Amino acid sequence: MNVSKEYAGSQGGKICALKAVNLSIKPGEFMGIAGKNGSGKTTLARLLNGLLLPSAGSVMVNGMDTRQRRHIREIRRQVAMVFQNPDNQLVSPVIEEEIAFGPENLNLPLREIEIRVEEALQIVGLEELRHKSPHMLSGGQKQRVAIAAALAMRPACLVLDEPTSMLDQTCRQGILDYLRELNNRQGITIILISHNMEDLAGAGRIIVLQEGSIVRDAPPWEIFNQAGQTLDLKPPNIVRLAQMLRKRGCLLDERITTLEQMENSICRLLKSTT
Amino acid sequence: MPVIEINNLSYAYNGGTPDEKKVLDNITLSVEKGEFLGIIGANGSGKSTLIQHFNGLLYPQSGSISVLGFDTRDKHYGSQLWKYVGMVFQFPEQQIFEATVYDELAYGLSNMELDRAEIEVRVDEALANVGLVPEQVRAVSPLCLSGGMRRRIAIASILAMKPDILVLDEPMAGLDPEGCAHILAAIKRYRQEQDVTVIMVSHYINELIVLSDRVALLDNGRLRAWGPARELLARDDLPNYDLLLPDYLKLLHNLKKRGLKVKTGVLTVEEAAGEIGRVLERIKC
Repeated sequence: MNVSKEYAGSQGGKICALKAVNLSIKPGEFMGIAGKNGSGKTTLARLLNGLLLPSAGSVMVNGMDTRQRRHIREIRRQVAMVFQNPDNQLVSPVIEEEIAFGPENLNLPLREIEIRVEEALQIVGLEELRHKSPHMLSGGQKQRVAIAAALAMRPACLVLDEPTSMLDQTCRQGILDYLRELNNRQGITIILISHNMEDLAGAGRIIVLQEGSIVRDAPPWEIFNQAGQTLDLKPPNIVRLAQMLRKRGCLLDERITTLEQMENSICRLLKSTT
Repeated sequence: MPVIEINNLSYAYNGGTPDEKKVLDNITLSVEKGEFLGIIGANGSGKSTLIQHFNGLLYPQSGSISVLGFDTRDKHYGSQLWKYVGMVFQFPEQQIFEATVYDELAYGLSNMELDRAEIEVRVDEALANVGLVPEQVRAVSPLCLSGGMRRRIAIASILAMKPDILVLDEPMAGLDPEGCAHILAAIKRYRQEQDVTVIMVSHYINELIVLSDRVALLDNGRLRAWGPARELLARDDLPNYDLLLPDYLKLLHNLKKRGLKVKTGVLTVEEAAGEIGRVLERIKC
């Protein structure tokens, strides 16, 4: 996939949400998008599958231009989108129907639809709730239904806009782990938008948006170590903790971005001193 | 003096049907006047169901709850409760329906039959309280504002009613750090001005523990623990409740499990750094 440049005005006004952004995303990448509210993250995401069209410049998805109507169906099949609030995208009265909705629209044979629904339910761990109605679920469960519905389309690329903002610890971690696995095992390109820097720790690369421009494009540990000072983002607590401990003279690895790395680094320190 | 007293409260959804689901199981809890009570628990642990009992949206199926001294099932009293217990639901910006910010905030106030001058004063106060400039936003349509701003408008509409008890269900979910900071500042300011009782449900445990006088831990509809945050965080079984524990707390619990002598009853990253630093230095010496 190769997305390059855009420039989008919001629907009514002439607010400039993205300013001549150039970006290329390779197949199989796991990319995080960080930035404050209003920095253009969601606009950028929606340009990726033609929900919004560029006001100048172009977005190419696997060689297809999102401005060409004949490509739109195929682009949307390849680039699936999961929004922040699942209530906005759940339409069916029964969960398995919700997940079957996309594959049905692809005119797939019934057996194939059944396989995909089964697989998607299993992935998000909602097999037992398959006959329930989405409105009876908690926010986190609904979010998992939305992700399952996107996965049933077997997309090449999954774009998630703040998917974990409503989730508790277990589902949040479960979904992040699962995204990493999808990325590793099946090579699905993941584009994850989050305010929460901790969510982005597993990404291969993070871009930081400020007022519609990309101000930084680097691996997570680099972004996190600068996050507090120059990027106006809140670094993950683990990174702050590591910074504080380094100030006290503890020799911790500078690439620490996750809890496991921190724990291992501390244990290594302990072993080396005893 | 307790403003809310809950005795042996139980609640099930779809009672008597095959879909029956017990969500609150024999909860006994009281909230003191002026207290800040934090409620934590995994998704589906019963948090939202519990707080909907505080303003009479739900009535106990068994057990009882009294708010400001009266049983919420008392019909005359229950129908007035909304004036005294301000409820900020999850994603409250979705319930905004008026055409301008002013009308949105004035809606509850005119239902309280306040006169116009008083309403105008309160609207401006509440907008200032959530960090907005009244002159700039009063006449604006809420639809033109960002999600974070709409959230602040929705919260202001509750604050304007000056409730004695303010109940907030995940007020920061989905906001960026700056948006969260605005909400937290507004809650703190309102609390200082009004000496209000605040009950807040949040997955943002690191923010909640520094604000709360006491924290209640719900798990599968049961109240597992209830007390000052430090005591609650010091419990070794804390990682078992599917909480969104801040990772510095998780780290401390993990290190403790590995035999490191760290205290887990800390509130902030700074305290955690102090705790780990102390232990590492001692081992080096």
